[in-house]
Amino acid sequence: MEQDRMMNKLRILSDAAKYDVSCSSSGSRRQNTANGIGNGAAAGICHSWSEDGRCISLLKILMTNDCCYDCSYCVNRRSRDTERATLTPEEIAELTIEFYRRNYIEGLFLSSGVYKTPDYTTELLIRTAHILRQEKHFNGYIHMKGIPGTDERLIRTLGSYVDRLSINIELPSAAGLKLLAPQKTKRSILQPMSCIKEGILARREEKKRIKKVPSFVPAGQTTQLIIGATPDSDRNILRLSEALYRNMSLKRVYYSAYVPVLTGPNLPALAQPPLLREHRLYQADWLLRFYQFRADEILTEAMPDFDIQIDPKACWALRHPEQFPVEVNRASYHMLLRVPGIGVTSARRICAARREAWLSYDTLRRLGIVLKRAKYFITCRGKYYGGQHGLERAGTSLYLQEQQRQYEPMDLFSGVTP
Amino acid sequence: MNYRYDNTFFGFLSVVFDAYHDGIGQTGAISGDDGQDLFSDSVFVEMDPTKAQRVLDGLQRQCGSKICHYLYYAFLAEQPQREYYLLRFLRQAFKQKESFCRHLSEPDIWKVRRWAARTGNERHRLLGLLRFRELQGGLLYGPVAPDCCVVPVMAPHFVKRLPAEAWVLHDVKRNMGVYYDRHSVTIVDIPRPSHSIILSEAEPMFEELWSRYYGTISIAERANPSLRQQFMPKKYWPWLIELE
Repeated sequence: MEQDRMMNKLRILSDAAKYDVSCSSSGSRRQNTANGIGNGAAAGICHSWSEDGRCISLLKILMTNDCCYDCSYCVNRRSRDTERATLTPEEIAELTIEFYRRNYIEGLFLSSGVYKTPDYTTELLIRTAHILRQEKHFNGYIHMKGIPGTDERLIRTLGSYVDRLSINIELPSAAGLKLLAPQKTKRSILQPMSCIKEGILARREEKKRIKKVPSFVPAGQTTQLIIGATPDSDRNILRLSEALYRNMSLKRVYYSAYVPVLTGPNLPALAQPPLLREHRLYQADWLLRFYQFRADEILTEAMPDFDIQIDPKACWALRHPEQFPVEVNRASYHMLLRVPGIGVTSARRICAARREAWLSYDTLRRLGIVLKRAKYFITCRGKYYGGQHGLERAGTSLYLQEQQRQYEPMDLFSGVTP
Repeated sequence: MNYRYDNTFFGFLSVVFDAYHDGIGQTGAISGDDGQDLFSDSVFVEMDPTKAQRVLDGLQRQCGSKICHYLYYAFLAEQPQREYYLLRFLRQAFKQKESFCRHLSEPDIWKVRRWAARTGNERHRLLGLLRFRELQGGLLYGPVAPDCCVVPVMAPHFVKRLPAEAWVLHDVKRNMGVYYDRHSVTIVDIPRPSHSIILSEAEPMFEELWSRYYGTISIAERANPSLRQQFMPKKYWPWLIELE
């Protein structure tokens, strides 16, 4: 490897890949082979954190930024005057192995600009995966991008090598796609996505009958949506995510606040990336996946955007005072999950503990349940601890707490103007 | 009766075995062997694997392997008075047997669990933050300075992951380490090195590549150093190649 040339390529291609936010290495239990290197850690392992506070767990890199598409939001669009570079499959494989054995990374996240055609690009991705898995006997994590418009057979071959596949939707509506990414269509994105889904389901069925079957995308598929590049409302975005979870059985939808690095006639002029909005979307996403909420409950037609000041769950609770306070000793698991301040762990602990004995306010505290917000919404053996004004005051206190949090020095969003 | 032992986990279990033999009610202080003889009447207990194994087997049979896990990890956390609290933990476990798992929220037991979680968390974090440097001859050298004694419990992870490499995990704080020679692991004492380490020829290039990668992957518009520090405390920075 020539150092200078490699250094330059790595700089260009990692710089171009950084706007892809997914960096998880969880979900795969791939075992190491006798003469191999690496294995999957089901919980995922973060190896470093970059200066923006995001974890680095994979070598996230583009194969090439020499893209034949011209999507206006993208830093690699054809019409942009920027340095171009391409890594060969052999170079990527060597870099991955050398980084991996030094414990810098958990595996490879390989994305790519569309070089010549989607099929040709995917063939190069397959070649890289093949070298890693078959020649280098690498059993660590591999996440690759599905290129919209790729042939189904190629997608299936790629899926047999990797742990996770993702196809980015990027723009959450067909109108946005037409405006900013005219060469992509909704169909060209959704078709490979459902191909992967069917592949995963088919393999799951086979597994019931046959003991050992080759893996197919064991860590599932994900996608990414860009927030703030198009005028879509939060409600539309959330409903799209819900549909993707339900119909495409996606593992995750990632949200990426649009970073205004480019200017263009169709692009919005933003001063800063909408980080707080992105954060609210992630909170709502968690409500969909772990808290048994529906998108229509979180954001209604009358209120299509998030209240940036307060988290979506507290917002729902304040809109539904008729549901509260709930009695912790009787409320269902489903209802406990809806209490602001009580999460999945707390709700489970409450359910387990109340089987043994009645829960008092003090027991809750000893169980490690944070009552700062929850106290306004619960009763313990019929007694209410949220002060004499009850639920009416709850809203004000929650807003105040949230604001204090935003101004604390150890803040998640120190770069955000409120 | 007061006891001293050699600071190892099995040594501690041998003490527990002897303490039960001598009458557990009369047990006084148990202390590690750090040169000072605080109590003139204290007995030094030799580490005996069969005794230790019997205690461990009994615990696993009566209370389950989760309790054994708590005991070992809490021991590795090296907290003050660990022998005192762990003996209480064991006595209660042997008294309550299978129902012991349901008493885990009692203050003393909770403390042991917190210690165990401390070790577990640091282990997990260091599995990611450990950096190997290739030395001349191909040996991978990974220095760390953890708060808890996590190196022995980190080794199995790397045995599975890098079975065809020779590597050392070096606990710089405790002057010990785990050495793997492509076949088996051994716990070794590593005294202060008399000469500095010699890196392999390719090593500086990959370290440079990694540092460069680390620099470019961050999005400047989203800079948030305090969040980074929350995940990656400063105490680990001296060992991280990308932050030098």
